[in-house]
Amino acid sequence: MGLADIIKKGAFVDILRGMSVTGTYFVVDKMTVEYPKEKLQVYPRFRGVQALLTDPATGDTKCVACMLCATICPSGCIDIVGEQTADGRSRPASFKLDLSRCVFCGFCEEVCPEAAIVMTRHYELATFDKDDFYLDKEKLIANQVYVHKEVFAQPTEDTAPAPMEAGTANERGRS
Amino acid sequence: MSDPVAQLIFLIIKAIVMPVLIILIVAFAIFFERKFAGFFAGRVGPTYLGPWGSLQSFGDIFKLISKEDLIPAKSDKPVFKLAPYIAFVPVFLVMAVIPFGPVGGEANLFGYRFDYVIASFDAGLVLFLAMGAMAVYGVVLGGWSSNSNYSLLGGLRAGAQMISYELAMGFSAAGVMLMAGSMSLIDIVDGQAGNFWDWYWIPQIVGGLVFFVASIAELNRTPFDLAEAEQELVAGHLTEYSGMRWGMFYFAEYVNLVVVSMIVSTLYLGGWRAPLEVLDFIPGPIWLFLKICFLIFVYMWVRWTIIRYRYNQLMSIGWKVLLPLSIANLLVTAVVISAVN
Amino acid sequence: MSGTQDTQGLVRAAQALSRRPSLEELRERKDRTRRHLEPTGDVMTISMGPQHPSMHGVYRAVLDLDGEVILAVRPEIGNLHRGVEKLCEHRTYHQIIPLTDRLDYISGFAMNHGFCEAAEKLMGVEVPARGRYIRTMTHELCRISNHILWLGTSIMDLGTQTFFTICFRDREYVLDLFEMLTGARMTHSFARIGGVAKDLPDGFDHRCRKVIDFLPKRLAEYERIIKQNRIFLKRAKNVGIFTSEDCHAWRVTGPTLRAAGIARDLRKDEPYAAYPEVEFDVAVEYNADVYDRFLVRMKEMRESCKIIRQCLDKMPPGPFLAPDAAHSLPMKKNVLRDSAAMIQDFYQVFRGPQVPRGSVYRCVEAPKGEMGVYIRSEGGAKPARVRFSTPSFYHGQAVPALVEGEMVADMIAIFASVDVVLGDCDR
Repeated sequence: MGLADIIKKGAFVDILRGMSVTGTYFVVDKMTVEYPKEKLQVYPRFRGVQALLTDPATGDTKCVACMLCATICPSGCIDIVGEQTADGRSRPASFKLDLSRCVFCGFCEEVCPEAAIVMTRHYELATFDKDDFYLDKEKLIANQVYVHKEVFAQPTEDTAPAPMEAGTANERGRS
Repeated sequence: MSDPVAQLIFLIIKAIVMPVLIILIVAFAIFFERKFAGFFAGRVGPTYLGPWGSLQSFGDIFKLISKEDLIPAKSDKPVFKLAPYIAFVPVFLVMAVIPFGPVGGEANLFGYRFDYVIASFDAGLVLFLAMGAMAVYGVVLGGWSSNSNYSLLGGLRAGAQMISYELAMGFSAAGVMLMAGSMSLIDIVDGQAGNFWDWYWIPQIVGGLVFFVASIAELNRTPFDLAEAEQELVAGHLTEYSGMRWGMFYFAEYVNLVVVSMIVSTLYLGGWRAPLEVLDFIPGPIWLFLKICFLIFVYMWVRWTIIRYRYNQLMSIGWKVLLPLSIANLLVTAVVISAVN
Repeated sequence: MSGTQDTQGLVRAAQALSRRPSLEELRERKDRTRRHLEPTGDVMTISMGPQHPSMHGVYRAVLDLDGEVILAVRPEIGNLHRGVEKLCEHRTYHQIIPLTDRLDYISGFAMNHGFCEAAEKLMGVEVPARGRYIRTMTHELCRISNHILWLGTSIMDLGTQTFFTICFRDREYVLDLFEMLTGARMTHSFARIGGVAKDLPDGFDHRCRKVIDFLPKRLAEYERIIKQNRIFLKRAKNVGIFTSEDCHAWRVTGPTLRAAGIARDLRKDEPYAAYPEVEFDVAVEYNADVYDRFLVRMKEMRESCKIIRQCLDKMPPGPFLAPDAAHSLPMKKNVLRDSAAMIQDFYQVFRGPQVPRGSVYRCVEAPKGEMGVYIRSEGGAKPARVRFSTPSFYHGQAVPALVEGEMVADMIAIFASVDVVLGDCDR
């Protein structure tokens, strides 16, 4: 070990170099998002709690009870009972979704041929009441308020909607 | 009112005000530790309680007091209960001998002489070293009495660490003693009269660095926080402690932080003296406070940047690097001083 | 300019070659750094985990200590066993994909990818070029996210909280990209048999480039903090030496193997996805200790940035999902427009992919090591047996060989350095 090394060691050069980095972090802008006060805007593809969409013309759900989502669901959390309406259209008599089993994989949304079930932006699902996890048709339809994608009757591009202005996490935190 | 009576009244006032002030400093030191821990990591730290989160420590104390006091069934209960006090009391005693302003001289307050020190004790430095050695008993006994392997390892580590670093600390402080020609902290500060280049940190730069490093070990802070190495020993000697008993240890640690900062500034940074003589109009306690703040900030900065040594590496640094360095520093100081005289 | 760089590079390579220790040397070094103590009567047994603050997940190790030196380790795994392999037998190949996410939840896409590669090999599905590039890119993003997390937690295990936080802060940039691309931050379920679930969203290219331009700067900052730090050097150099023969004996792969001087990287050796079409170097170091594992991972993150940039540059147009009606789900946009696609949708959901009889083994280079998937099919839409040969399991079982004779503090450092995730280990 040469003299220069000894002096460097005695002057704690290596440690001061590290401290200079943390010292920089001390003064620069902070990354923290103070969660309950400020919330991040999620991306359009975000997979939150599901919603059943309704047809604006009739006000009834777009679901035709084809059972695709219930079949593909890896955790088997969707339970549908179908029925026929008077005009021969098929619709769900009951549509139950057990959130406590749901893994938010997004398969239900992906296979739906009617774009009737979509994943929304809503993710704050903690509750004191277990019954809140069992979503029925009414609750799922009510979840429409959280829909953050533009869903077309016959979409021309993916289900992904128009681009949303959102920065990287740092920018988003302060938006 | 005769002078002795006035001195007695002053003493009582000082003995009450000083600990209260220190406790306040400690409360905010804990808050700033958490705040700065966040800042050094690009976070914001506590923000909820009080403006800017500044009342966080009081919230912590309230939480700790309201928690259940758990004592392990197979612990050595009397020792388990005693240990926090053993850790707590000695660090407070050191405060008595640290001057925070001019001592002696003519009357300066209501026609009486007010000494800015609680006890004008001739061997103040020795008291500091002795009390530091006492305080570790709290850690060792706490670790041993918990009847947990993690605690035991933590206590043993703390004991071994303290023994090896007290030595280096004592020897490097001896250099200052030689320069001041006294073991009294009051005389040591008097020996550093003048501007900041007259302080002992320039002639005692090696001793000062050794003392600073050893003081980090004494304070149980990273990189020498082996006694409560969270990643290895869960919480070391504190593993089984909960509630306010744990709080006492925690509190003692921060009182120690303040006291050691006071000692470092007294020994090497001119104590209560202003860095430039022209700034002498600002009273001594304020300068001491600023120096404490600076040192605490440095301690925090170090703690929140670097990682921890391993147990055997810590030992080898203490015995093979710091101790020889401090003895060499002492020898050189002694030779130079006798040559000058 | 480039000439001098070349010569400098050559000089550096020659130096590296001369510093490269032989296997005997490493063996001898390992022998020297481990303490060989005869077990006496005074053995202290401590149970580390499953609730220990620095045990990753619910790993439990029962340590026999002589002072601070570890005499013996009895690892205990299985606290996070969820029976994924059994669950797979009752699901169609499509439905297995979300299960694979939960194996190594830190690098979910790598697990998706491994399973889909195996299933595609079994079914003979050709992935279109765009799908392969998106997979490669996502896989590398995964590697970055995994290695940054590894860096944060393993340096934290050496004693600093700050590093943990700043690594999580920067991992956030990658997770952000994941959220934008896949819709989830960790459990992506993004790969599909025959490609990927979704195309790149608008603006992804730009944002991804921003992140991969930015991350190397942050990596340089990390290195500034610890690479030359005397404490880190002391804690990491010549600690936990695990030679290449040990790696072979315990089937330890990934960065740990590459830090032992073996340039084994499935991305090069058994290329899959778009790896043959991108240029990158395999990060290799030779000292087989904790420090070299750190170096390997830092280098790999930089290489990943390079790969991602190339993928974005070369990203071919076209479909991202194979137009294979027998085996893969249709693209969503087609389902809503095209009756053939809708029939394919119904077919795939109700009947599942029609798979020939046979068995297949395929492995990919997951961030933690080689992730192998064995599938045995007896025909039909559900596999008869699925077996995941995940890296963490082997790394977890190698812990006794890794740490015996080291000190307690090193046990933490070494255990962190081989990178174990219990979801991956217990399955």
